[in-house]
Amino acid sequence: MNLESEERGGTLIVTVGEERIDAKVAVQFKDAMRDRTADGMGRVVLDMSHVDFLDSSGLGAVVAVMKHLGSERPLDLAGLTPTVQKVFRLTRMDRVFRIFEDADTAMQASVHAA
Amino acid sequence: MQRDGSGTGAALTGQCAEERGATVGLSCAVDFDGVRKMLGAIVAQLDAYGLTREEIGSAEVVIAEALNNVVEHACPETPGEEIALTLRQTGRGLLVEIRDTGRPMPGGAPPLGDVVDPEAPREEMPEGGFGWFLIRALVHDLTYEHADGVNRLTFRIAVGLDPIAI
Repeated sequence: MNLESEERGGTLIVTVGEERIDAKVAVQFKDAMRDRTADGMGRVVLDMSHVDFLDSSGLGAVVAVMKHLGSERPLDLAGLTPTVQKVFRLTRMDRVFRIFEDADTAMQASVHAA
Repeated sequence: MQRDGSGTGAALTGQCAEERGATVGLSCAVDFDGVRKMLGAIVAQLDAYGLTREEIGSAEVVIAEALNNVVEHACPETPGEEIALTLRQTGRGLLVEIRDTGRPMPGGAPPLGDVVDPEAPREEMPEGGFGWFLIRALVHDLTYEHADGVNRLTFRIAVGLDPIAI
């Protein structure tokens, strides 16, 4: 599972380097995100701009990561590609997550975090 | 594996829809690697049918969910089995048929899928159950039957439509 992370002003930006988060890699994604976020305390922004395809298993993994981080550490999403955006919209998960156009926009919005 | 679909009137969902592209038959192993490979072939075929990127994306989501469901539920302990899929392009959309020899669906019908309540507490958010909800949101004419040991799921995805079809 290809993840890159960068700490910026107390926010951890995790960029997914995979084209697909699907049933084949959903568990790996979940485990890798847990490892990657284990040390931090603050907000996490998940940059999905390289992810072309996400199925319901991948969506479930993103939800699991959000729940694992807990209410003190918001998980925000950035850079959803059209098909990924559609999956979030149809399942109404676009109303559960804060979704930003890209990671930079997400960083600018951080002061307004709920 | 490809065959010319013109001439025969055996519509996948019993409709008399005009065929436009070749009918294509594919098969894959009953595991997530197999599903990924088959989806790659399907996306290439949909591109050859001339569908837009958005249409291809929707179709890939639906077909992925249906195939994942077969892998997860239908035949967990029968190595060597295959999932067979047939695609056909018509003026009323893309007709898809998926066949497998695994267990029949519980209750003899596809589930409805779970609807998420976006206002629910985060710790209660479901981590699964979205698959059938996505399928039902994106397809028409969903049928399922289990006969002679074969599960047969058919549906229509309204993509690449004739201007007068809807």
